[in-house]
Formats: sequence, C-alpha cells, structure tokens
Amino acid sequence: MGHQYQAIQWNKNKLVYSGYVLIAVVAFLAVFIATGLSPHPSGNTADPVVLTIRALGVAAFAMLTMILAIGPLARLSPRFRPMLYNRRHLGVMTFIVSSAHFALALLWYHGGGPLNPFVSLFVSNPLYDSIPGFPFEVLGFAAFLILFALAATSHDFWLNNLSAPAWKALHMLVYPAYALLVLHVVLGAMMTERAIIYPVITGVTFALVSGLHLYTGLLEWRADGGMRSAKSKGWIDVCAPGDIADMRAVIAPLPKGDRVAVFRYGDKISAVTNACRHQNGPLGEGRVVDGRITCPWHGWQYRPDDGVSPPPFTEKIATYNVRVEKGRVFVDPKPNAPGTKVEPAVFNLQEMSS
Amino acid sequence: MKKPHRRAHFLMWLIIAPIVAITFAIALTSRPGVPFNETTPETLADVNAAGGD
Repeated sequence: MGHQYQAIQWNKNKLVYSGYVLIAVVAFLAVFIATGLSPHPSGNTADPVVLTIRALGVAAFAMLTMILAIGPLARLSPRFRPMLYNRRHLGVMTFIVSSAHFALALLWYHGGGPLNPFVSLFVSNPLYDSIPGFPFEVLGFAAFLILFALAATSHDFWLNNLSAPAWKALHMLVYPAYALLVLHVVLGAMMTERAIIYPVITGVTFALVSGLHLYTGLLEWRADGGMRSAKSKGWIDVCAPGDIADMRAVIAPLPKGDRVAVFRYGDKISAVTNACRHQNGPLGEGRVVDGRITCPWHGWQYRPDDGVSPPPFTEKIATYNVRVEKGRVFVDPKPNAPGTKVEPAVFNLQEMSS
Repeated sequence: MKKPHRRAHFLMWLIIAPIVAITFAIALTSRPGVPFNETTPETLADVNAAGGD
C-alpha cells in the first residue's frame, strides 16, 4: 500500500510462489529441449540453439496466456481470485523469459551479418505485403517493447506516481501485446511448421482468452447498461439488509457509471465506492476481514465507516451515506469526500432472521 | 475497474479478436503444403538416364 514504495513486494508466500514458477519454467525448458534433441526417425537432429529459442518463446506465450486468463476467470468465480495476488510477479517473470527469447533470436538470426541486428530485424525480410512470408519477427519485437514498458512500470512507485487510472490504461496495452504475440506465432512458427498441432494450439488458446475477455466484458457492459436507469437524484433503494451476506457486499449502480459497494458486518451496514485506490479493483467483491473491507485483488484494506486504510497506511476512499428504512437499504448517490466518517446504518438482526 | 476502463477493455477485445481471427484464417489457408523437392525430377531423370530403376 502507499506507506512505502517497494520495487517488488516480496513476502514468504510470494517467494515460495515465484520459486515454484521458476522451477516449472526450467522444467518446461528442459523437457522441451530434451524432447527436441532426441533422435528423429529421419536421422536429422535439431539445432540446440533453435530449440532453446523455441522453448523460451513457447514458455513466454503460455505464461502470458495464463496471466490474461486470470482476470476474467476471477470475475467469473471467486476460486480464481487468489491467483490475482501473484499475477504481477508472473508478469515480470514472463518478461524475463521473453527477453531471453528475444535476445537469443536476435543474436542467432541477425547477429552474424554486417548490419546492426536491430536494423537487420526490420530489413532482412522485406515481404511486408505477404501473409505467408510476413516478417513475423517485427510483431514479436513490438510485443516485446510493450512488455518491457509494462514490466518497467509494474511496481507501486509508478502506480502511485502515474495515478491508478493512468497506470491501468497503460497496462491495458498488454492486450494488444498479446494480439501481436499471437500473430507472431501465427505468421512465424505456424507457417514454417507443418504439423497441425501448431494452428490447433494457437487457435484454441486465443479463442479461450479472447472468449473469456469478451464474455466478461459483455457482462460488465450489460451491468453498466442497467446503471443508466439509476438516474435518480434521490436516495437509491439497494436491497433488503438480508440480501447482503454477512461480511460481504452488494454492488449497486450509481448515476454517471460509478458503483457503490454496500457492506454488511453483523447488524451494521456501510457503503463505500466500489473502486479500490490501488488498481480500481472491485471492493464489493471482497469481504470484511478483521473489521476492514479487503480488496479481492491485492488485499488493500479500508475501514468500512470512513474508508481509511489502517495505520501506517494513508489511503482513503469515498464513503456514501446509508440508511435502513422499512426493511430496505438506501444509499445517497452523492459520494462523500474520501475518508469522511459515516455512521453505519444499524438494523435489527433478529427481524432479519425471523 | 471504473467505467471508462471497463468500456475500453471490452472495445479493445472487440477490435483485437476479429483482427487476429481473420489473420489466423488467412494464414491457415496460406500455409505451405507438403514440401516440394525440386531436385527429385532431375534426380529421377538422372537415374533413368543411367538405366537404373
């Protein structure tokens, strides 16, 4: 959180997690290369350097695919939410693997000629108007530049200095980067390797990732469409107190497309903005842990009555006035200044359970 | 995410998905077939000329 900047927020769990990922990547590379080097019936042997380039590329592609699947899966099922905690570390590791792939490929295919390797990358194959012969390396290089920018700005120093909206906008470039990588594979390995497994794996992988993002995006779009009906300037009827599970929230639409998270903890109800200060994570999908609203994405916490992070942290989010009347929870759509204390609405717990 | 980012996310995938899908389809139909060995006819001609089988 905002108490101090750390390039990488290591803790024991993340060390263990990153250790497992590292072991998995090394094991994958070893199996890929060993399999490729095994004797072929034709008597031909694969080049170990080319195999290593391929192995690194496949590993980076698979890792980025997993990263992009985590977000929509976490929106569809809470079971995937713990994976969000480690997504940033996986992203940085993906960049490291893709850097190795890029450096090795650049040296191997473009490092031996008279031209600068970076110039050679762009001019050695001039078939820019051809699909089968397109210089697919250029697409991979463009994706690599985006991944570099994302990895370089991945820590909270940049998040705080750029502001959450600008940082989020920048990091949404990962989607075009993924598209470039898919095209890099489609116009590269898929065109040179005749085995049907290449188009099958590439096609299915992209269909899954894009399908997940389009489906969850459509759900959000529909939800936002429902919010257009929330034009009333008066208090908004959210739900009955019993509709909110204990220590959980109901997310309600507000005018102008904002959302409010209405939390119940025991017989009290408080309302805060649904957007976490960290990365605009959906607070209403989190829960109250140790008396604090906890963001499901990275665990940032806020007190429900004033939206202030517990000391030593200093983040504040907007609160909303809330009341319970005639068995219904009402929220004033006008947000209070971040950190404004609002007395929780209290209701009769026994009436709710009877 | 806030509404502008939700919209941008959805629109981005609405653009990305068809572009990649169409390129994928074109590339799939443009894939080279079984490799053609240009030396085979000449080799066969040489073998035939030499009276081999």
